[in-house]
Amino acid sequence: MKEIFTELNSIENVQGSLFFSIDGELMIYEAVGENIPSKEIIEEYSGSLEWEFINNQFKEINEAELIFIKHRVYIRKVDHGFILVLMTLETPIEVVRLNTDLLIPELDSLKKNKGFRRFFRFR
Amino acid sequence: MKNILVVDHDITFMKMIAKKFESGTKQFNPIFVKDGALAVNQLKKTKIDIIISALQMPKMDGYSLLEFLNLNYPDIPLIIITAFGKPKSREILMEKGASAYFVKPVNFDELISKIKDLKEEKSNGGILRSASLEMFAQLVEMEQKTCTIRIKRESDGKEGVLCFKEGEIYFARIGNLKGLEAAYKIFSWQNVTLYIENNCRIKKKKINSELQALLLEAMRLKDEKEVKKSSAKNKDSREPQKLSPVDSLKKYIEDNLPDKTGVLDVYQDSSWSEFIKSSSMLGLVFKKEDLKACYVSKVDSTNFIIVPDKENTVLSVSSKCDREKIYKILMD
Repeated sequence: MKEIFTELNSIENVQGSLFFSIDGELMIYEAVGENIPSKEIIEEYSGSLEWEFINNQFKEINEAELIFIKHRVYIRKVDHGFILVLMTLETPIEVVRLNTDLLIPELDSLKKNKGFRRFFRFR
Repeated sequence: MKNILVVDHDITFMKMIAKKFESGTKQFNPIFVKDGALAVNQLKKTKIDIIISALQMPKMDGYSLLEFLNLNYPDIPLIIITAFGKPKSREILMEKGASAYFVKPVNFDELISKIKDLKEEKSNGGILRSASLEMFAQLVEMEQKTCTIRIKRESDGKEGVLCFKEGEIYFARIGNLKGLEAAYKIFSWQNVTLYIENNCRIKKKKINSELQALLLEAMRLKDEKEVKKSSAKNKDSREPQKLSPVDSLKKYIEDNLPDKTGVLDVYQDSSWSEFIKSSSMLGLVFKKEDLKACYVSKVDSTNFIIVPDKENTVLSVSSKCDREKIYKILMD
């Protein structure tokens, strides 16, 4: 299986990257750090969210950063979902942003060519 | 860590250089932008130590970027990288002030070695800790020295640059502040470390004032400021004021971020509550960490930092804002 977030996840202190569809389904889960929660915990979390509301809010938002005590989550809205990058506070955010920019056409082309559901399978 | 601004629209090259920096000794923090116009924006908001730029770019090319640097940031070394190396263009660019010229495919080891050389050049004339800048500047004038002095204020790490050619002061800069005003500020600093470079990249004199006159005016402005400060302090001690949460955050930002870089407004807005609630839940996933702040960039180019509290304090910020500094203030 192709691991689409390999480069993003190789940035120093990045713990992992996720891709959620617009209705909140966890489509890609690629973890590298020890602190990243399991796929099941993330799915439980995503199930508890109001995705209609989130989609509504993100109509006006391009990107967001959530700053926690030791971690940071970078959220990037794309046409068909949300990329989430989980990292520690020391991670160079501009490098993460650049790598996410580079990923978007790749995500788009995968969607056009094969369809997410057939292409991505969970690890 | 030194900030290296990499300006190129060639994504393959950017990826390669990012990898090279990541696998290296982590002395450098690369910042990537796609053209000269974006580089100009980045220079306004971040302290950049060295620039690597392509020549051919869609919006503002390498030649225009070099012109801009010569006018505004002549102390920052520029390395040109091009796919179309021609001896004539190399000659012109080097004459105009570029520090190095590489032709693609670039030998990355040579490039990194050049960056290291440029970094080392910045203090090849020595480092003076706890020095008297006025005294040193007067010595430079007396000895008719040519040099670039990078000054670091120890109390807050703020940095400034003074350039001298044959003993005459040619240029001064603190961040985006240039010329006489920057020179006055730099000469009012105390407890500084001086990094001396035996070179001055500035071709044209941009400060038309004698050093002695400049030093006197700087001292006068410093005294005036101190008098104002102490009278304001006395007034404050007579009339203690209770500040609202928003006002106290404003004051805290003013005190800790003296140039208020990029902070446009501070206010309370409870309409962010639901967004904050969803975001905070993500913290539960991270071993129950508390959410300290959110940064949101909207499609209409407005940007906000939201501090989760009772009413949600919102900082409206420009794209120039140094978010990391603000997060640090908020975390403190």
